[in-house]
Amino acid sequence: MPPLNSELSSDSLRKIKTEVPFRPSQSLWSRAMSRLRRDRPTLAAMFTIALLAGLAVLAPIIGDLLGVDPYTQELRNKYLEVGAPGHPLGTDELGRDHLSRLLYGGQISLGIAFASAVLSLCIGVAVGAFAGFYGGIVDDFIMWLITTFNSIPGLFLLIIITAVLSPSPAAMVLVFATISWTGTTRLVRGETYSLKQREYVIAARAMGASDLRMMFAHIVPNIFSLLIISLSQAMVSLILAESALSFIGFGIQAPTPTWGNMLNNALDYMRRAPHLMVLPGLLISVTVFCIYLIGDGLRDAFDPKIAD
Amino acid sequence: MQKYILRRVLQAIPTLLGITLIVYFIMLLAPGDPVSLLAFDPKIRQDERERLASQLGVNDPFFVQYLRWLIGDDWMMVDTNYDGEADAWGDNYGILRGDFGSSFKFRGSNPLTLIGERLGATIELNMAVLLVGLSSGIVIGVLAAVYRGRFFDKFTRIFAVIGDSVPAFWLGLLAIVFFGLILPRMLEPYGIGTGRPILPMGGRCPPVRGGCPPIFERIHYLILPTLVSALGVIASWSRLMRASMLETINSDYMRTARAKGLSDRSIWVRHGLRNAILPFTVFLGPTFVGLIGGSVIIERIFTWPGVGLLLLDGLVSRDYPIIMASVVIASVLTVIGYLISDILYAMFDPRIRF
Repeated sequence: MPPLNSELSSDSLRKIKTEVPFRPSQSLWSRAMSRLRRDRPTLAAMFTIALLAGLAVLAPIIGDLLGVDPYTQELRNKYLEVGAPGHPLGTDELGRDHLSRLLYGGQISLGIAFASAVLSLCIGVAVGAFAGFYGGIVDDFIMWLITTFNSIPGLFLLIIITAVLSPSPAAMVLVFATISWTGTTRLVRGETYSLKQREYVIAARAMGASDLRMMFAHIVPNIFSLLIISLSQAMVSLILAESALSFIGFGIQAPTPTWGNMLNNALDYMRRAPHLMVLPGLLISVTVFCIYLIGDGLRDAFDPKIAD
Repeated sequence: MQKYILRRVLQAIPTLLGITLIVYFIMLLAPGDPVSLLAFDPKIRQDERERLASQLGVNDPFFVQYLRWLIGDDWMMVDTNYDGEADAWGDNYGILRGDFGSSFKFRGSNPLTLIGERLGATIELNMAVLLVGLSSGIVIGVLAAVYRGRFFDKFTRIFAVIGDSVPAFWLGLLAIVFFGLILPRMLEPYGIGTGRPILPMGGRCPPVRGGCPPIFERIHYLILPTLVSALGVIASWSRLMRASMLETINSDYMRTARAKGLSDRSIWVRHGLRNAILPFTVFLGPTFVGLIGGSVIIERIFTWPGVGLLLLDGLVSRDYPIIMASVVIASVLTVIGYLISDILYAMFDPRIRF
């Protein structure tokens, strides 16, 4: 069926109108998908992120192909420049291969950010749905908790937790999720509060649905598009937080590379090897930039107020 | 209005209590209890250790310990000789009366005095960042809205997204390398400079005895940290002001103003800007809060002797009183920032009723 906004003579328009009484309604998702397919910048950003993630996942294979790994120290080959034989991106202050450290660092940085964003989203949805659905004292308590958490500067809280507990990478995911759940919670709480008064939720209640069913089968699926956007925002702030934390020396500890602690190292060898500080920072910036673009693109794609 | 302010101030109290609770809880999780820290010597007998433990109150339940930290124990009898009976007045004033214990590293100093010495530096830097960031962000945003769709608008929008994605710590490193190494080397053959860094690469003032000179004599020390830290503020505020200004442009009273035949200047400044500036009050608080959180990073890069650097030093030497005091003080500043932002909003927006 031709789109309604194309140039049609009034005759053929009438024909269409009589033959097809209504335009088949597009669901939110199919419309978002068709919009995304036409959104070049967002597609390019998605492609870049997929590429970076793919390279990070394939790091061991790439390392094998080049015969390098991120931990072997070649003390004769310290501070090699970009393009050195055997080390395409040079080596660092201990003669470790820069390329494979970047790739393995990407595994950790991207992996931690993604895992903790998903975890914080789960916490946010569960807590926010409860607060918005039940209201009253549960809501008061959760709002107090959110205000309190938001009043401790995020980096300060992150620093003291990691400095005191010195967690492993897996525990780090928990720490990041514990401090970043408040944004999603606030969002889900607000939406739940307004959605629970809609007719379809009341209808579900009338048919005897349990509270949990109303929350997670009727309300939460309706805010799924918001959650995807919220996930991309959480990833941005978590990538930045993780690298900031490693940069000041409290995140993942050496010798495990992350983009942040590679920059921290580069700070000490700034005069000797300025090239070491360019790529880790560039990768962080590119990743964050792309996820920003994806988030913006998704918001536009799901926005019912924007006409096609 | 006064009622609203009072209510808002009262609402801050449970938040402040919550902050102290969280901070104290995290610190309790720290490995290594204070007894083994103080009685490191293996020759100390077990009963002496136990007496020390009861003096320090580490055997008390969590909330008792928390309350003693919060409000002190000088009003109650504590058991000092571990015989199960309270026998002497406590000597702890509690953080509510400014007693955070005494620093481990700087023997016996009150953490609050140490923070007070550093707070000036942090506030000085953040005020400079706010000044530079807000003024240029607002001007750029308004101009972008006025010249919507033109080159300036497109250019600043791309700049804003990039400015949001580049982390301050990387930008700081690049700035140091550029102004400290690359630019001097480039300029030297032309007889400009001596190949030495053009701007100071860190610190708040030249290392002199007796504190720093007045601010106008060391303003060049502020330039790099301020610019690096302000970039993010400029980026987000120019986007914010652009959106807010565009929203205002499409409103009815702007059309009325135009229809009345007012001059462009009067339309933009008196009718547009005055309404578009409202978000200013809402986002002032979050911006300030973001800067306080980010001060750890900026102070680390440029060795700016502020509270953030004090916290990092404290963490390295496991100086718990200093750590707790600086986190609590930073959080109090945050709460005050949100409070001022809310009150400003209520004052500026006549549509809000109390």
